[in-house]
Amino acid sequence: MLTLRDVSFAYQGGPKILDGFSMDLQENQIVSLLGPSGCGKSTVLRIVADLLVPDAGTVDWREEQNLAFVFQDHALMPWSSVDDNVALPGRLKGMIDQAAVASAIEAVGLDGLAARFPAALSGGQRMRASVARALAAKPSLLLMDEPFAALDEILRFQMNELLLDLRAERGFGVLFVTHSLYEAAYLSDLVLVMGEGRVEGSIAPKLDRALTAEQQRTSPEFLSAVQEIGAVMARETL
Amino acid sequence: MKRVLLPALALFAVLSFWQYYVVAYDVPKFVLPTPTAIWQALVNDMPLWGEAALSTLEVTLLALIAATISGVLFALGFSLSRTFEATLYPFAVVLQVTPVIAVAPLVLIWVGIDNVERAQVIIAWLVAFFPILANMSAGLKSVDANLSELFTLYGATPLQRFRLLLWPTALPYLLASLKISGGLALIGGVVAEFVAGSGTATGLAWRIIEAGNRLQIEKMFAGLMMLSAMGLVIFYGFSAIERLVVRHRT
Repeated sequence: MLTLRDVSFAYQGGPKILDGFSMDLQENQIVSLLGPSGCGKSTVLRIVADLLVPDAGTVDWREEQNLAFVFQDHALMPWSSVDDNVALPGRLKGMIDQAAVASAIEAVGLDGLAARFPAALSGGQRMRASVARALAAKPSLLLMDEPFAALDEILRFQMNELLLDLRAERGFGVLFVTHSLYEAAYLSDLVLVMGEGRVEGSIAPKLDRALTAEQQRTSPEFLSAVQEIGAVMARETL
Repeated sequence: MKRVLLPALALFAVLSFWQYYVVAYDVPKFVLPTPTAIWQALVNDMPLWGEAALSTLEVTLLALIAATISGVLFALGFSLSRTFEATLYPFAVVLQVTPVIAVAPLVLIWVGIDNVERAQVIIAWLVAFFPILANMSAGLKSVDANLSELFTLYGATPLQRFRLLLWPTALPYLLASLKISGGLALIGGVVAEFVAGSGTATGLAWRIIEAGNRLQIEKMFAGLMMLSAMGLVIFYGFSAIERLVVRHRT
């Protein structure tokens, strides 16, 4: 559903951030981009979102599909209630689907808090609101830029579960940027390790989603995926 | 409670000492009248003071409205075009740094001969404009970069971007500047009346000049009190609006 081929990008006058970057993302797949700071992970998301234009290469992406973006800082409008924040994508497109807004808020477990303002929410609740806003856009592809990096470990686990549940219920692809190899190994169908502006290695963890989260996190498949990713990353940082 | 009680107590202490000092040391009333005499001067001529205060308030508010509209529009222009900003910003600074008292006579000659109020409004606008422009510009620049990208991603029109993102982001900055510019517009209006001199204007400053010419010091103080009260009302009025606007944000 998404294909990038030989994409290059440099900010004006700066060094190349992406240099021959290629990747594929299939329907309903979660693909994680992992790599050191400044390796171009977030730039890939912005190119896919059409917020940046690549200097070279192609981005293949069906126009009729909906995109949504979730940032590390929740990027909620502090002057608007959760309800209004979640309704933003619809409002900007000129048609608020109140049912979709309510269902998105319920899906992230914020029902009862829709009238609250972001300042009256905890960090975890704000991130849930931010995810709800993305869901309200009815995305076929969700772009997530280190969305859970600022949360503590327990909350991060909860949000990982939430994301997997939502994907199973609603069906959408996810392009996920993270610094955590454990998070990447747990969430992803495919982990792309980046270095110097391109993909240096790809690992496909084969977790059995029928198992509980606890069982998956202690399964040999998870541990071997972590090891494999770790090995590629170690090679990259040498 | 503390925020009201402490200044009230301090004021009461100062007034009590003032009253005591003037009475005990028999200070002539054309040098320093007692607070009670000032109060009397205020109460006795209340309709006159009220009329003068209305006149000054009208000038202040007109100038403030003009400064707000022009400040917001110019700030928007600056945020849309770097060239526009680079071209005009130095002139805005010139407006700010040139003492208004030195400019006031010129404005009076140019536009105030047949209509002194128009000159007063322009002079008050001159001092009120810059803080609004500067704050509004800062407000528009403080837009959350991620939110801005989200607006682009979801295809916001320029009007939607302004109404739903830029305006709400900049509003607290604008209100903070109105607290400053409200007081400045009042000062500008008073300066204009002083420069225009007696017999032309009808505001509080003119009443103060008139009282000064007649050595009615208690009336001068009464006029000053009215001006201070107006400044306080403007400041705390905007503070209240500001609190109302940002109450959900923190």
